[in-house]
Amino acid sequence: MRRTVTSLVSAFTLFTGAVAPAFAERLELEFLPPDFPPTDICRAPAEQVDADETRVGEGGGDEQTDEDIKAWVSYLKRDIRALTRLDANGHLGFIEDLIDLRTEIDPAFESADAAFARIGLYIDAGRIEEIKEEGVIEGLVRMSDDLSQSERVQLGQYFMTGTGVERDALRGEQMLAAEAFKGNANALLAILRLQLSGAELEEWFETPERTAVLAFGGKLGQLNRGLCGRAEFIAEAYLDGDLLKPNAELALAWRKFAADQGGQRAAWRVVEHMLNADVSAYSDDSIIHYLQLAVDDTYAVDANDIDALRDVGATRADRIADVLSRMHGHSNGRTARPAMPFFELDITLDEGLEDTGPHLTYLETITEFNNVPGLIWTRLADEILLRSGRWKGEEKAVEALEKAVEAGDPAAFVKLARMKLRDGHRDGASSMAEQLLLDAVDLHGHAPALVALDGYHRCVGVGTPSSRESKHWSASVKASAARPLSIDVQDYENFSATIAPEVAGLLQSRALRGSTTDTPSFLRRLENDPSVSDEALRYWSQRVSFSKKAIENYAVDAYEVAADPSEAAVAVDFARRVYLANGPSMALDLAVILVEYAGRSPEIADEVRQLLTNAASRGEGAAIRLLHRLSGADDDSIYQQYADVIDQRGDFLALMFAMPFVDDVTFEDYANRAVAEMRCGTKDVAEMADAFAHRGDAERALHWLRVGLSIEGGHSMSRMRIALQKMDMFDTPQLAMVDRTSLGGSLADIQVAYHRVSFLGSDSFNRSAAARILTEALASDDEAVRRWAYGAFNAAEAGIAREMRDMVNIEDVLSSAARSGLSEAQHAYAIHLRAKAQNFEQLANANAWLETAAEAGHGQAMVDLAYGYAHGVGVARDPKLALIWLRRAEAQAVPGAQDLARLVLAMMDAG
Amino acid sequence: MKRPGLAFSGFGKAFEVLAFGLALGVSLLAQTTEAEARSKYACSTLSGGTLPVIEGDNGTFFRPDPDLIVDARFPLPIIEQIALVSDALENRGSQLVVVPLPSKGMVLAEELSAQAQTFGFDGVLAETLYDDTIRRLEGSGVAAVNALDALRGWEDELPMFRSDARLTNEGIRLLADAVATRLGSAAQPGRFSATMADMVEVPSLQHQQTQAKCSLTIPAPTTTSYNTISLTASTQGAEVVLAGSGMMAGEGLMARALFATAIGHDVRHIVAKDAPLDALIAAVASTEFQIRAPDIVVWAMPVTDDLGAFGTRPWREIKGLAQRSCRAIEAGRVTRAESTIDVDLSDIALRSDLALLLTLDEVSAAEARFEFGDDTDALQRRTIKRFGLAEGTERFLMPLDLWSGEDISVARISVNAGLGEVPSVAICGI
Repeated sequence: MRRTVTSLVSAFTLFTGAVAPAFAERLELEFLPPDFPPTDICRAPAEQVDADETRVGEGGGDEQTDEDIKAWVSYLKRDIRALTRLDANGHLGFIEDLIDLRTEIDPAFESADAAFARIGLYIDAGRIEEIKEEGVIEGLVRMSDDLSQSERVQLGQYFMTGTGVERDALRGEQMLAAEAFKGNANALLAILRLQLSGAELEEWFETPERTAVLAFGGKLGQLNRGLCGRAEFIAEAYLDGDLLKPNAELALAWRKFAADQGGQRAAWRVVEHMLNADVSAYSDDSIIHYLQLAVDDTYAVDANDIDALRDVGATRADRIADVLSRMHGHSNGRTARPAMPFFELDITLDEGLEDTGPHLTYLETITEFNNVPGLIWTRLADEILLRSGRWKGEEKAVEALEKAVEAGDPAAFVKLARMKLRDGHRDGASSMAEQLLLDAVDLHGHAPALVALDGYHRCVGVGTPSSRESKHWSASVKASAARPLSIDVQDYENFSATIAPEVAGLLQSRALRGSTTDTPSFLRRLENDPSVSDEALRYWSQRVSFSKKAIENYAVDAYEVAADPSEAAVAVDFARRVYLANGPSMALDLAVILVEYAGRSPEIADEVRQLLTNAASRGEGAAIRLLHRLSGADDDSIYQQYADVIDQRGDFLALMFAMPFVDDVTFEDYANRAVAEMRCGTKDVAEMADAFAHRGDAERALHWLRVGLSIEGGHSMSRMRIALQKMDMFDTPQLAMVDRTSLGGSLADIQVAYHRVSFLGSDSFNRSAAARILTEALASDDEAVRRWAYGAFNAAEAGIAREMRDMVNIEDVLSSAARSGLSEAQHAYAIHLRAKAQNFEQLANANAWLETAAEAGHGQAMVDLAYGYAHGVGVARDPKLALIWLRRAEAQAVPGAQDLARLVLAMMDAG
Repeated sequence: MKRPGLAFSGFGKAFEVLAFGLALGVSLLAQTTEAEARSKYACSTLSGGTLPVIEGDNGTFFRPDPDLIVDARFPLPIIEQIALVSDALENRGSQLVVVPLPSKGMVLAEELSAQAQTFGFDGVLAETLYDDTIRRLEGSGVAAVNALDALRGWEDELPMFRSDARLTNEGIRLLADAVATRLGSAAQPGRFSATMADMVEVPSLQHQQTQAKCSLTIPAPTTTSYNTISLTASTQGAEVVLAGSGMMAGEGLMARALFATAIGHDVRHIVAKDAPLDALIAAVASTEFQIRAPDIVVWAMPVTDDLGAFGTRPWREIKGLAQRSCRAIEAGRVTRAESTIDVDLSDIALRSDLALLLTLDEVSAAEARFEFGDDTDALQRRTIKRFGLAEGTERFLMPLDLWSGEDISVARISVNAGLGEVPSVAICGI
């Protein structure tokens, strides 16, 4: 059926007299799997596929393999869904072409399926009346013998709701009942849903309990290859709470059943469940049993299809087993309620570095259609860059992005602008980039383009640093939904109440709108809220796992906030799972975590080296640098090893690594590439300055230092870099600087040294050195140094604080200093006590120290104390007292005091 | 046939299948419980579909975005921009009343199911942020109406539809009353009368789309209609413009009549669907406004909208159009071609407090392009695009401070429609 529904009519189907059902319940159904000996039925050869299996079938033409077809079908499903959500009406024709393509390539997707897909599309596009005018549904009724079970059920439901057809509830019910009498499990489930909604049915007389038995018994069906998928359906029914009262144990039982029948995805789910449980809950033998079922010498678990598993070859399976073998045995219970057990991650070890692949071929095919949406062109550009490398593939990617811009994809404007910057100021490339960003704002109200314009004028545009333009765009960013939202992961620990309401509100909203950075942050916030339900943790875990980047952020944060070795072990296990799910993009993060966790273990060192090699082969400069340090090889030989990789796909840090070794022409080229890749922050700007300084180009080095100084607030990092440059003319070996400071020095020297090594993410970051400097500063004879050190400890990165705890008894140091009367120490001690408090008394003690510091005039202590009074943290809630402290803090212009005071007032008014 | 034997073929096969399950030893124990409700209307794939909604109580449906968005707050820079616009309008003799519209989750909080918490919705937090926004607006000298308080005053009819995201006529009436109260003596209620008439069903796409996922009939979007009459023969009265999003607009909704009744003056209703900022721009860019500014401008917008997504340019445009402090550019500096106008800027000292104003001649356009350049090249293009308006606007005002500092001597202006017979260009202070 092609273009069944074509005419343009705007009208509405109206219903009158809604009947409010009396009740709606979920069924408590204890439905156990059969005690049936293990088989490999779910791995049966394709010839034995049964009719009721929901899977891509055989055949598919001469040119594409089954694997490709399965991949294409998953891409088609993804794009149809994404474009429908984006603008079903605007992209109607293109989506219909995608539906047609699926009809052509997917043997299990026939013309009737396409008709139903179109009906769904027209509903989403708001063109329901056209379905009725074309008589589509009556036409499908006439061919009902050729329809699947679920389609016949769907037809009945159209009549019941009057969707695209005159409403005829009785006819709809009759159609459902007729199917139910045939044993159609989908019909039985639909009837069960109606019964649980309280509907009185004229054609069905079984009780809900009996209906459920028939439905799920029928759903389980026959002993064939589809059995495991259907068992998984029942497991899901016990998890999603749609019809049945949730029961995780029964879900696990069904997954074990499926695993024992050869269901590898189910086996992996069982392994995940066991790994997330306390260590004593399951034996090693039990875990290894299911692990072996999940991973054997021919298959690994595939994300796209429950039943048909992708052959990834023995080598990869070995790697999976190897990684997994190190995962068990660390967990020893935990104090928080992490969401990690709710993640359901698959194993995909697609290297993604081949020049082509099914995704690329698919995208190239569908971009031959008419009226290609911008989103699809952008996907094509991304895939080209992933496959070929960001530099090798740039010409083709630019072509695709130009089409995406033409078709109006806002994200493409920003991506193309970044690629134009790669040409520097040649042929007006920089101005073109700016124009693209302006168009993204003017034509699409695309807030990320405001952020890009801000960065453009601060760092890379003509005449930078330009204070006038950057001020303008910086102000625009702050007025938009893209305004900065700065949350330290440590904020979530122990006291979610310390997050300001406006931050909490913005965080939820951005998470709901799919931000890859804020969704994992929001999940972390939920983890620390004891009132949050399992359903919420499950839902947000799924949302996080939609994005590779989001789940990687979450995994890194999970390790970052781990409070003890047990939690760290759980976080490390989780990071390994993410690596298995995401592949090389997680390699660097996992390597860094492993180095911190157990870097001295020779076995871990080998694994880290392997992970870094993996990441380095994708042009990740941070991995190349770490490999350089780990190997002890000279940097030139490391560069030679990765020169081609860097040239084809090197990221910003990789280009920075390469720049000392390349000739002048290549240096200029790489400098332009680096500008296109850089983030306009102090870290990357300092890297640029260093690169030019190393080259002996003092003029451009100073230019970048000035750019750094222009970054809002004249960031301390840039100021210190200037100081360093004066001292050492760009050539201060980092460790020598640290050592010199350690021997004694002024406060300024110590601050410079500390900031160089404590700036997380910078190349000079050195956690141990930072911990050592700060520990020594805490013991300094110089009171000014100690005062600074207490504040620095409060703000220190978690890993630095951990290392300090290994070097010295921090609590004793802070306690002693606090008692000596230094308000900075009293504040630091209070924060330390509050962070580790387990009960109200301990909180109260922390508050007492805050009050002491506040009384002594410490501004931040006043604000922290006011938080406590505003929210009743460790003290009886007293908003008025909170306001008094906030007024005093405001008088000192303490950041945040004014905003908090307004919100406390609002809360008081709200009662 | 690609799918032979796909369907079961009768009772025999069905019970054979079931018998298999039972023969395997499936253990069953079923009982109904009083567990929490899931769907009372036999709905399925609601939240996971392509148009996600969740089912609340009594057939009330909420979209996660924006109905469950917690960030019910304008950032400070937006409040500052609104205050500047308010001042500019006041200088023209117009009083601005701002009505930030709370989300459906906030207004119908009692109809939310536990599922709302799954999405992170926190009504108390949203309300705190909303109240703070109202307080900040008032603190900045902007007349603001707490619509959340107003909408909670409903009695017999909900202020928002259960299966549609818009306000009912009852909700509109409550808002209109609150605006009238905020206006104080500027309102003259009693000049019109609105009496309740029949219940009417409002055409609603959202209702239809939700219904398609539910086997039982969900509540229809019905609302009370009103008969309104003028109680006075006098045509004297203030002029009122009501500008806003589509939340109060559509067949069966009577925003204009209900606001006129509450305020006691005739009302012109300007709607820009999903683009409330453009509704306000349309108000100040209209010829009516330029000839005589209305006495009252009521601006209603969803508080969850991003009013800063287009940068500060639209705000500066509103301010400039409201101030109307312009002088015509001499004819010799303006060159008219068929579809473009070139403006010679070479002797004009371009400053950040200046803007170019294009006025079309009795035509409207949805898009205007300003290409700035030197004698030979266009160096930068800025575009003003109107969204959600039926006809676009007659005026476009472009601030002159937004390029990168090149020597600008020419501006070439074009629109997506005709320029009209005698379009004009002026330079304005903003």
